[in-house]
Amino acid sequence: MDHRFAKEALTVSKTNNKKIATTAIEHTAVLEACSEAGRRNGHSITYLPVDSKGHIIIGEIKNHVDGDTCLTSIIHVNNETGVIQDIKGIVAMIKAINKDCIVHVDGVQALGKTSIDADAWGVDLYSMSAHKIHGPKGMGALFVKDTVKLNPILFGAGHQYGLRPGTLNVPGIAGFGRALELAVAQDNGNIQNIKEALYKKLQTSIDEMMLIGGRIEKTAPHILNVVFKGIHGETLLHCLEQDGILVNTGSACSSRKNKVSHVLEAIGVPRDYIKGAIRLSFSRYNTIEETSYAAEKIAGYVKKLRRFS
Amino acid sequence: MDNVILIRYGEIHLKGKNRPYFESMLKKSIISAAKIDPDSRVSFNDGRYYIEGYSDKNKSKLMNRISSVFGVHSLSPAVRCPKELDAIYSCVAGTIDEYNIQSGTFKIEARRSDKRFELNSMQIAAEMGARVLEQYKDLKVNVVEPENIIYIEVRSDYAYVYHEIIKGPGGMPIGSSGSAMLLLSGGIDSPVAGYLMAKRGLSIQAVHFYSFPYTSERAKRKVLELAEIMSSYCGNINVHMAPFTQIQESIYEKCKKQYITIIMRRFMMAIAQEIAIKNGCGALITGESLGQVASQTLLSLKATNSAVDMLVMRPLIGMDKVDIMYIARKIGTYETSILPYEDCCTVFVPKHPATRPDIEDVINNEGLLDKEMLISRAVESIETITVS
Repeated sequence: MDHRFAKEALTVSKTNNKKIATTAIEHTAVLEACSEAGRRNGHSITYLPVDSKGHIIIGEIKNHVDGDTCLTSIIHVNNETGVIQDIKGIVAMIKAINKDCIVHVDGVQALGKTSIDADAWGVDLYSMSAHKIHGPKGMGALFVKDTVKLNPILFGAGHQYGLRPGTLNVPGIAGFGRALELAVAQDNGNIQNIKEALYKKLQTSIDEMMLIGGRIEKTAPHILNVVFKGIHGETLLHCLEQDGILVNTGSACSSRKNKVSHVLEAIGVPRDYIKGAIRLSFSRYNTIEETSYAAEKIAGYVKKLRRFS
Repeated sequence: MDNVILIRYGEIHLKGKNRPYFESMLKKSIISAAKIDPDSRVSFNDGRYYIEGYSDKNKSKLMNRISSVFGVHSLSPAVRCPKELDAIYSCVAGTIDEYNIQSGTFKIEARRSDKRFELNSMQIAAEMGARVLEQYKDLKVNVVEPENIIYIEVRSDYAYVYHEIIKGPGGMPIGSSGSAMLLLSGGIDSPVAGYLMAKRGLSIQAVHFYSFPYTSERAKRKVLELAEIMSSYCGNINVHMAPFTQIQESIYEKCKKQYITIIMRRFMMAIAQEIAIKNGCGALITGESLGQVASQTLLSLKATNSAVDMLVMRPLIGMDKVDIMYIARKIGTYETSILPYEDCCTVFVPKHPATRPDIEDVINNEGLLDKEMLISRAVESIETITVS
């Protein structure tokens, strides 16, 4: 579901309360929405810091949320690192400071990977997307607590309680539903095993490598983020894609811009490691056998590329 | 009465005894451009080209295409008729109606190259002007600052009547000046350099240096897209893809860091020269602009240039970046050029590149490498793709 929906919906109703709190590790969809709220309506935005493992420091919340904070947005599972936030604890702290503060949680990477109980945790808005659980692209969902009043950002024929008018994408909805059934039934334990197997193999064959996100068993089963000293992640990506291994990188190797991942910066990854970040994603379609192939290729290229750091 | 497109050339007028050569080169280019309407016929008479037989629905596409053919000075959609006053007036009235010139001021501009015609130019204009005033009561004549001009030409074969004159790009026909090898990176400058030299009549081939894995396949595809856009002006382009990884790595390992870029560029020029000679090109073309970056200062350009003895054309050398960007937007390469698929990874960009290199020092440093082997290996591994 479009995060912006949550933001825009609220700015009209809460004009007196001008503060929005979010985190330093949010997805750019949320960061941009917050910046836009700041530009259009004068909201001031504050960013909750994270520790070196990428967890929100619950003790810091009181320095960023107060009686004037109308909205907080927290990412449940970080898309780059796989770190899982303690949503229950965070929401409890926010509500204790300001019970009227609306809490939005970005659950796009959490759906199907870790347990979610938005209602019990007191979450007001929870966003989900179909494409991260092998569902059709262009489909999302937003959990809305019954006490939350949203304003529409589109106007028309009254579909979806008048909040998002437009003829519904029935095949998309059906696809999302089926994807969710399969996601809930999938063996996340097995995915975690494959991830850990790959990591162990990398550990034995590559030195000066850091694991991002703290203990591997604590991060989401489908995301592994490692940083290698002295290489460019983008170059490693090019090497690996020729061998059929598709990874993502947190930086752009560009002679014009020196973009690095804002998430890794917020965690405090050292300068000589941060450009060598790669993120590997796992799914129920991966096998243990693939980990040997991938580890061998990654180790080989890292050694080769380190000659030109 | 027929509809024709009348095409004029410009600088070719200055060519003395060689004029027929240029006229025939331009005719080839026009015929190639006119192929978008397979029924069209191109003829040349009396210093003008004519396209006829095209269908109305293709007219504006055809005009658009012709107006980017190098060598064309201007073109006009015209009506052609027999050299009789009534027929000519019928075309004049038809033109006024077609362009919906209902009120305001007008002027008839007439010329005759057929000196045997019964009236001279001024008399033709006066006669036609009088008839227009008779038929169109709301039009008035203004010979000083008319709002509308109707042109009449009485030539050796027919009379032509037209209202619009559309500017062409000028320049010289493709291939009439020979051929050259363009060093095509994925950036904003090199496609513009290629365009400007093609405009002076050079047929273009291109060489692109890629460094997998430091650069991606997407960077190569981007270059082919740029060549495709250029080909609509320059004709077919052979793009020679030269592998550069080994050279880049060797330079990085053995040479002084501040000279990396200059030595790389010297290698690129040397390889481009070899490919140019192999492919019958008489010159190299680069997108260098004085002072734009460290490798394009006066001394850096001198250091790069001394790697070759072939003629190097640098049409952007005196241009500001904003002017280069303006042309890139006009020719449609800008949006593709700014796509983020870099042709040079930051690994190989020195933190402190030399802006005033000592040429002797550069050459000595370069001497630490087996230049001949590296160049011949790159030339042997070239892959050529023809883009149209």
